[in-house]
Amino acid sequence: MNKASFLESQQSLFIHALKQPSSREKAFKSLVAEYKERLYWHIRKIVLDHDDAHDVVQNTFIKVYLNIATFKENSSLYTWMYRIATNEALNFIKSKSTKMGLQNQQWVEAVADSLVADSYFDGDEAALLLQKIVARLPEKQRLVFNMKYFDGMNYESISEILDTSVGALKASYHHAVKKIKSQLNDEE
Amino acid sequence: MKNKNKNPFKVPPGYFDSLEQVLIDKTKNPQQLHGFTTPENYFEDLEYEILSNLKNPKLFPSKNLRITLLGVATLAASLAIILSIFTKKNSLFVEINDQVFEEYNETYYLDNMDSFDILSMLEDNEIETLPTISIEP
Repeated sequence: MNKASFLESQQSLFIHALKQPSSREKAFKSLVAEYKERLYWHIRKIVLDHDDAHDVVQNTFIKVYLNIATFKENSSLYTWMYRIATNEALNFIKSKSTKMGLQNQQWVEAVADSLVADSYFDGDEAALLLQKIVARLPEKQRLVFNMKYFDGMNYESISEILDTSVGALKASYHHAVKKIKSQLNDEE
Repeated sequence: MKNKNKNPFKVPPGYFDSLEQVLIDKTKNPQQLHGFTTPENYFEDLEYEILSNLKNPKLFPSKNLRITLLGVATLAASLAIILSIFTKKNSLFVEINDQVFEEYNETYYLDNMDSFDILSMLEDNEIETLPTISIEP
């Protein structure tokens, strides 16, 4: 048995444990322990604010818990959870911005502008500027940039999570980097 | 490396070995790159909170959705009142409405109330007229 098929069988066993009422709680506890930080940081970079990320990460895990029985294993558990987290975060932004009569991007930019006063942001001037510029990117480019640049994910994984071809992702990342460089030059 | 001995600067022993690890760790820890932080012990508390929430797993609707649902319910209630005033053949509608209301009460409202809460909603005379159970053989 090679490494890939071994990992696959391990995952199947774990998912089986998650679906069985007798082992569900224990398996879910280890799932939360394993993924809480990764999912939190993924969400945090989308919604930017800690309290908002806290709400979204909780809803994400509740959705995983409630829907694990319907998980078809067409993708890895990790990919599926990231997809739920991404959708939850984007829906959260949509809901917040609609409530305030803003476009999604306007809301994200406003939050990025207020990071300077955020007690849970201790980045230097350069980090703050980068966040403000990233907030100005279109949604898809912002997601791809965060996942590639900050999380160091490969295109194949991002492709599965965002359900977008690797070619399109490379183009998005390229455009994002180009815009960021251009805006950084303008700021200097 | 002829000029090596002319270099006046020094580094602690093993500095470059540890520097490599420090840089690798830094790239692995995204918060050091993007500047976001969390409250102290946040992830320990988060785990506890998530697992506690699962004992009664409900996704809370957003405030917007709650307002929309309230609006729809108010509109439906207003329509029901208008229909009951202007329509004579409204008995079936009212019956269905009552049934829906009772089901709602049983499912969502009374579930959260104990017998004391229910009794406290009744008038004294209503309590007195409740049927009593005979214990005679």
